[in-house]
Amino acid sequence: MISDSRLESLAESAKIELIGKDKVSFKKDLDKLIKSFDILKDVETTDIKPMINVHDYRNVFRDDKVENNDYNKNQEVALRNAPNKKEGFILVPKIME
Amino acid sequence: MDYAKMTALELASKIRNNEISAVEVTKAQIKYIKEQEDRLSCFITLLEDEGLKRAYEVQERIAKGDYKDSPLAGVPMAVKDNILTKNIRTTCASRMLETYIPSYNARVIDKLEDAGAIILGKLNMDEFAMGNSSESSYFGPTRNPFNTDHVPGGSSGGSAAAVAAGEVFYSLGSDTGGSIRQPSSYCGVTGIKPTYGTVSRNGLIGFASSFDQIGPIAKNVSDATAVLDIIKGYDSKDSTSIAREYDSYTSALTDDVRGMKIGVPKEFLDSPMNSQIREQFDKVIKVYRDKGATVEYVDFQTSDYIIPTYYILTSAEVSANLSRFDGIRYGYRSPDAKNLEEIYFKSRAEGFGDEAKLRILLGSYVLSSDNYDTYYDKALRIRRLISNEFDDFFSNYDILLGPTSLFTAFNFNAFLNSPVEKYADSDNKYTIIANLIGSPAMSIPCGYDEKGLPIGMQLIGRKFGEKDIIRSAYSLEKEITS
Repeated sequence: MISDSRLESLAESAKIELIGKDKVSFKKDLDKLIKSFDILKDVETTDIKPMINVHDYRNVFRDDKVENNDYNKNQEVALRNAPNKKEGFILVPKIME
Repeated sequence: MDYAKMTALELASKIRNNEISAVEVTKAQIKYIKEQEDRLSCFITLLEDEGLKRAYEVQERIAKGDYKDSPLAGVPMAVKDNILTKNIRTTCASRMLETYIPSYNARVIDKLEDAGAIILGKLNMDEFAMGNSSESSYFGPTRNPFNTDHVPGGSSGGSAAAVAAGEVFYSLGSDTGGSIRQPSSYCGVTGIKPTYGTVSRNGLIGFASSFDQIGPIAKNVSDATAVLDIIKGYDSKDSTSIAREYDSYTSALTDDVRGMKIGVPKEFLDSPMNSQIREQFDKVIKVYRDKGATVEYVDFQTSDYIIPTYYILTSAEVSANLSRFDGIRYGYRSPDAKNLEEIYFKSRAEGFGDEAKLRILLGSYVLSSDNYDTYYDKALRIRRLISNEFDDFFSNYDILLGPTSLFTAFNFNAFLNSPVEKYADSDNKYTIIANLIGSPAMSIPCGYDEKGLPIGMQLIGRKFGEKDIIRSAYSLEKEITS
């Protein structure tokens, strides 16, 4: 069972504020989901390598030069989705006390 | 002329031969969409003016002899709203991105535009593509064109319903655990989830990045294949995209399955399947046998691990992917936030719906330091165990066959109070398996149940075995529609 404090610490790390009625239903749903994972516990996996991806990838490198940058060079376009902005900057509440 | 009943390739050929103009058909479709939308709500954003303007441009270029090698030039289509479209709102069906205007196109959009596609809008879906009914959309649900009391499936519900209703001739969806195939099945259309890495994910808003693929939804196998031929291919902007020779999938449209080996999971023999689906399933097996394919029942030892493994890994990836939505640079910001911390906590609380929050919390749980080994690392290892078993299967068989869903489209609110039961009761581990192992898979329509709701059959192939599933689907389609 997920305890209240555990749920709160999850919400803290996920940075989501939970209100009272959320807490009850999320706890119930998380409990059920986590219980459904029990079947995996006894599977022998010691010699099995974790599978991060379905293909074997290598790192992709390229030269550090700008190419086809038409969507970043325009400040107005780059900032148009900012919820609050001023004089070409994104505005947030004061951070330093 | 009743365009809505034509296939994309038929329409394109008439446009090419000057029998119909792209402008005329676009006007007719916009009118038709507006008539249908009250009933269905497939669109989040309808591009009436932009679509028509684009139709004039495309028609002019077709008249000049451009798009000669584009089999779908001039055909109106639409795109799931988690695929970025430059200067066109892209919401992911979330309050978080309600007003978000991308500054660039997803790679698939550039490819479609180069091929003369006319994009009529952005289609509804489950929020952030999490769900299988399209009910979790912030903009309200889409309805199933066959019966508006029923869901269209999800998460690409708008993409499937818009094609089924004839609003557009094809669409793009995305598929993380069945999100193209299950709605295709529920709406009686054809959908393909390509091999992981075949279609660029550049510009697809990530859900679970090691599972997601974009793919086509269309009226039949030939149309879906033509779309896949346009959008496939390596993209240097997607580091998981695979550089290889992709031959024409259209060349696989042959009615010949002789010598093909098809495997059916043995557990389908006694799984709780709707009786009409079972009837269709048996019929399909007989069709393949009659046409010269071998069909055998196969036992899978790891199949019970598929769903839990999928939920652990996708939730982990979700919690990472959705951490970028912080209310600072773009997206929803709570008007009540008084300091920086509150911007994060309140914006995410108010911007995300319950389904997204549940999966973020679950992801945080399985990734937390005391649970990492028990859940996340364990699931990564079991993903390989499962993958090994199914790779072995595909070294002996060409196709894994089964119903796309064990049920037809369910009623609205059927799982209102329990998302968890919804996962358990309506997910099909055999759609999820294709994403877990990276295989291509396809759903094609196959008859109706007693209520007149469509049934779909699924064909899964080995990695990069698109041609096998296209050939076998085409062959089956010939039999069930003729």
